[in-house]
Amino acid sequence: MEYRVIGQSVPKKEVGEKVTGRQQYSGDLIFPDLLIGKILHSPHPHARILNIDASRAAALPGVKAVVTHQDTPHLLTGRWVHDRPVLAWDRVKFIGDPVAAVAAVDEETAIEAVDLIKVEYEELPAVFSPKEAVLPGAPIVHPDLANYKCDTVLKPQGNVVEQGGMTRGDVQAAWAKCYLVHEADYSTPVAYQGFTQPHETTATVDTAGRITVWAANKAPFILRQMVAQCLAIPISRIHIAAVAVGGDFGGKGTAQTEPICVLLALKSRRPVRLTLNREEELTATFLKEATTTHIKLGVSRDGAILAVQGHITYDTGAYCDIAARMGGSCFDLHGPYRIPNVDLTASRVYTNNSPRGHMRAPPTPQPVFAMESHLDMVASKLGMDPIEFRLKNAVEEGDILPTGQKIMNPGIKETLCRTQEFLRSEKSEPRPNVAWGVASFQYHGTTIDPSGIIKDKRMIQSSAWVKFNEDGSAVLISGVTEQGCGPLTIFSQIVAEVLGISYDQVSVVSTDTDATPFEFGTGSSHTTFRVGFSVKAAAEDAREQLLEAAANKLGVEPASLVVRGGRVHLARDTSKGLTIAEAAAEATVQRGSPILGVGVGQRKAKLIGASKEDLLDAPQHGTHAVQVEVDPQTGQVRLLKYFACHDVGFALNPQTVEGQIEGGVGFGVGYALSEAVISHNGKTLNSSLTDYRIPTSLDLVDIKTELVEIPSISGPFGIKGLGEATNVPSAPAIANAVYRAVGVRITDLPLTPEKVYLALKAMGESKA
Amino acid sequence: MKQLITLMVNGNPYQLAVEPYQPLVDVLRDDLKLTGAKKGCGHGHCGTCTVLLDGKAVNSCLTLAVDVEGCNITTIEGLVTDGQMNSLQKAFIKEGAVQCGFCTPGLIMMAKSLLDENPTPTEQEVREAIVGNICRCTGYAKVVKAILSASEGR
Repeated sequence: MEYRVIGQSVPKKEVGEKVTGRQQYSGDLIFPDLLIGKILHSPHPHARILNIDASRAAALPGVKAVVTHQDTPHLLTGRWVHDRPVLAWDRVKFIGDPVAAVAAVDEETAIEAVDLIKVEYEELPAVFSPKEAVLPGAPIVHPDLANYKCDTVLKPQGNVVEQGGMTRGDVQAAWAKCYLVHEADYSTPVAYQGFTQPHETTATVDTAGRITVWAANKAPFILRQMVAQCLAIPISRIHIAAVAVGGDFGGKGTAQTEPICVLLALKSRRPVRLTLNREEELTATFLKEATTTHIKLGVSRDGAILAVQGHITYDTGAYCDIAARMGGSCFDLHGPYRIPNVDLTASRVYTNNSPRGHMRAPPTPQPVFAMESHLDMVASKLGMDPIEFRLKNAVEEGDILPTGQKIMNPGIKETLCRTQEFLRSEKSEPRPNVAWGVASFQYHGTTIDPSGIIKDKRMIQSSAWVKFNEDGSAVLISGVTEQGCGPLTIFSQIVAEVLGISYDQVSVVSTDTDATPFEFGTGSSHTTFRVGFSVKAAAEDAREQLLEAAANKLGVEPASLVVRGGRVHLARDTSKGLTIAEAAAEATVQRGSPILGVGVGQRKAKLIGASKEDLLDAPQHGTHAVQVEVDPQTGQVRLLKYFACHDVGFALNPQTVEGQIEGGVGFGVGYALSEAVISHNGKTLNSSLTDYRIPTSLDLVDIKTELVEIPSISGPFGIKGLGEATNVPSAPAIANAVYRAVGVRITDLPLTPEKVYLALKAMGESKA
Repeated sequence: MKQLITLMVNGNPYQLAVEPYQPLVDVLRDDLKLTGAKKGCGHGHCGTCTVLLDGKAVNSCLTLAVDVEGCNITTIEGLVTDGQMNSLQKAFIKEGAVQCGFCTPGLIMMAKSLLDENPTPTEQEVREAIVGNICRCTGYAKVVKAILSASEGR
């Protein structure tokens, strides 16, 4: 199939504004009477609030509003489980829990005012690890959890907020048949999304009481719904307006500080800006969950995986902004392999640590680190090449997964073979302390409802509108927000392709909740997949209407017309026709209204409650290979080369696809080598961007990307999801490379020099 | 107590009353409404606020406005001349080096400082020059390519 616009690396729609500094983010908006907001956070991990005295803060000159729980309707909110207050009213549950906030004429005054708020607390026993949290007698973080409002069906028990599992065959009977059984534990740290734009919100209230919010948030309709719900304000009074978002990576898809900013604007009746500093970012926002995983896996003598048993535990901290993914966690722990006997479980547990939410491919980097490290050890014990071992066990077309569904168009084998070819081409003399490591992944991203428990079906739906202007150009109207990965560019390409016009003739209205149709948000690696489908459908609808108008004018049947070369003409006689502009103008005259195409899309694949009639036709698969050098004197791991191969179905914009992969690798390398939010008894110890180490340009190397294009059935133009999982294989690939370079197996991320050095030392001592 | 100063920004003089503790980034953004320099951390850790001070890149969050009176300050807004983008801006577009864009102005200013001093840097020199500019979206791959291609095209 020949395409004109899709498949091309056109520049992003907004890129000119971004390179000239003209792109406006929430913090760039100018208001003459703007106030600056500041939050007072809890200093205790668990305490009862006895009294809040904000009188001195309110009396400070320059302070225009002080808000506490008394200014709120005492409603809990949450992305899934409604477990958190806007401002705490009875108990605080982590160090950083918002208790009060002020708005003042400048930042200095706001900081001074926050210090003047006096809160009396009675400290309560707290719990800081899931292991302790599930013991009898442990402090219960949410005693009323069973009665919380919830957008999924959870069966909470004590501090366990949700559990999930995946089983097949008989694991117990299988162990006896195994030639080799390997059992090990893995752990991963809390990590920070690390977007360069912090959470910042600007809110105004007009004279009629209508609220406008410009937020660093990629899910405007979810945000509107949450702000309305937790402040008991009707949706009709809330307008989430379009503004650029400076990175998201999962951290900007829920209401965090936005409701507090709105409260301050309502009370002060002036525009308020609330920006978090990095200390607040790292202590009081929803970060990536720490996990522990236990895996037992058995193989036959020739390397066929016969059984796997495992459990992964997620520490979700004081509030759980992510849920309904435990089925997905088990699915991804299982990976893209044929395994006849499976017993995998996952659980998510409350503690008094800071709260947890989404971060790029949640909750998958954790289980994949564990399983892909584990597989590498098994291959090594068998004396098998790690790629051959994976190839032997990889899923194939038509396999039935433990979920019950049939897998179609899997790309795993192709990505493994391409990686193998690449490594053969890289073959060189062995060097001491240098080796390659590989890891693969499967990600549940584009499936719906990975735990079968989502109540709100709008989560899986999408709609888009395409409007024709009278000159034949078009406007795409979509509720999707551009947070950097390029969805609006790719959608514009789709519209241009379908309508037969050029990319430059498509403009976009996005994000704005007053102007665009409901959209669940940019994320889960299914924005292009799901919304791309509705955009394509909307453009096709608009084209049908265009053909109809042209047919009326020409006195022919619409079916006899085609759109080609900027014209609508008879298929058999190119001379009889109209330009697209003439046809669009004609449609407006005939109907008294411009053409508006409407498209609806829906994700189809499901993981729980599926049968073999339910196809998993767009599985996300990939393989990474990385060459490292380990300094045995210091334990420092240095990257030398990186190869990343992903099956993307079809690359709608190859440069953007590459950019997603390169960025994902950078993200994954940080998780592998340097990133960990360290806390002690709930207190974060490294709350700045120098102490929390995001990779710099010197930590990374040039990344060779390779695309496999095995088309899906249900994705628009055969695409598969991509964005998130690009970061998933990096950590296990690096851990596997380190093992092969120097013989130490690090099972606890990140692979800091200290850990590698101590492991090398321990290995040396045990040999001596 | 506010002090009266004159700042030369993108070739234009501005008379301003600023507090002695005010960082340059706040004066640029709040007083001059030049919001191209971003404030990603306020502590010199991220590089999003990078501007040129007499041609050298600095973190404008660590620079006091009162200290730079008499210096030539260039911000991202100053790179477009007669409606034409600078070669670095064009290269960032061509190479797809921009995703969320929040780090982009700082990276471009840092790269300009590098290329003005060293018009033909190696890849390693580019990586060393931008080490203080965090980009979370791109893994720096296309950023490095863009800077190298702008250097060749000068």
